[in-house]
Amino acid sequence: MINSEVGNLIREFSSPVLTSAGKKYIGLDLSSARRVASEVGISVREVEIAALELEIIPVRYFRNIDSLGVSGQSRLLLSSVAVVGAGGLGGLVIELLARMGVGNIIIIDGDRFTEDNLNRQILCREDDIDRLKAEVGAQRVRAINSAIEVTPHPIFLTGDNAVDLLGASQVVVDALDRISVRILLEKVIGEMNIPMVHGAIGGFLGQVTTVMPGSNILSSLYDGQTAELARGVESVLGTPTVTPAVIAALEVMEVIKLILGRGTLLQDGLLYLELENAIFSRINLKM
Amino acid sequence: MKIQVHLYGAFRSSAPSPSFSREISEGMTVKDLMNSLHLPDPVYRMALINDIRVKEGTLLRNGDEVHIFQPVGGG
Repeated sequence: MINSEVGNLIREFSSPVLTSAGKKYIGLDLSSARRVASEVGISVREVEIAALELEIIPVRYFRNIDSLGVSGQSRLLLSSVAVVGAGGLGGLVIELLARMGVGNIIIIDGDRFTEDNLNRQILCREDDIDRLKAEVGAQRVRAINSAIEVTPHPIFLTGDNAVDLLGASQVVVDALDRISVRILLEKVIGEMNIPMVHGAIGGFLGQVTTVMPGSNILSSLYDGQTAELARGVESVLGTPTVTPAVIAALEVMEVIKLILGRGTLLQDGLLYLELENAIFSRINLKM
Repeated sequence: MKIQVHLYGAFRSSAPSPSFSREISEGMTVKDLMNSLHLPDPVYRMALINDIRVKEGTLLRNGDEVHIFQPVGGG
């Protein structure tokens, strides 16, 4: 329930705006949201949640709203997503989640940036080398969208800490770079009953799938090869710049569909992308 | 005996067409098929038969649909 003082102030500071589709919405811009927040003593996040409840759209979401709807945007803002790995895939996933307006982002990565990350890891600038990826990611999220609550965990996910780290999340994103940890994560989310979106890259190849709790698609896929396959074909093909951007966008789209309960999820198989030949294939996989 | 083969990624060019049917002899395994196609480095290749992940020693059977691709794991 929105406090009437907050509601009245939001209405007072908002104004009608036309979106690109020519639809008329009532909008609340960032400086007004900040003013309401400071006058009432609440966060910008709380102001945005209240505004959406009143069908008043924070201007930052204007270009989302015709596709998501007001209730969809509101649901995203109230949702919580954990991103495991804040490297090539994870950095882009984090960036996209923040811009989509996913309201709670948990970032798990114990690693620090190195110079060879600069080719593809959007969170990494020259000045960020040696900094903790999770901390840089959180800083980036706050700079993009102050209405988001971001929790950085600068530690590596293990069987011992996974439940604590992932407990608050509604969806988990696998943006790891080691097959053995991906399989561990699949087991944990099964036990915790949380859906997970998996993405992986190697050279100009990439794959995406959504893992529902109880599915063991990743362990089936990598069955019997975990020892030799600590890493996949990226060990010999590297991880060039463009591949994570495509796979991260597909992963975030799966997250959106899971949270909003719409569209068709990529389940029971892989979407396998060969960017060099511009071929996207669906490879079915039974467990 | 006849099987259907689908090749992905770098393996596409290992046959005149990436999807083809092929006669096989009794006792032929996935590994035999991969070797006959000269697919590189056994660590970075993976096969599914009729949508189920199989090991390379698996025997091929008439009517099998085989998908061979390179697993990726980077992030």
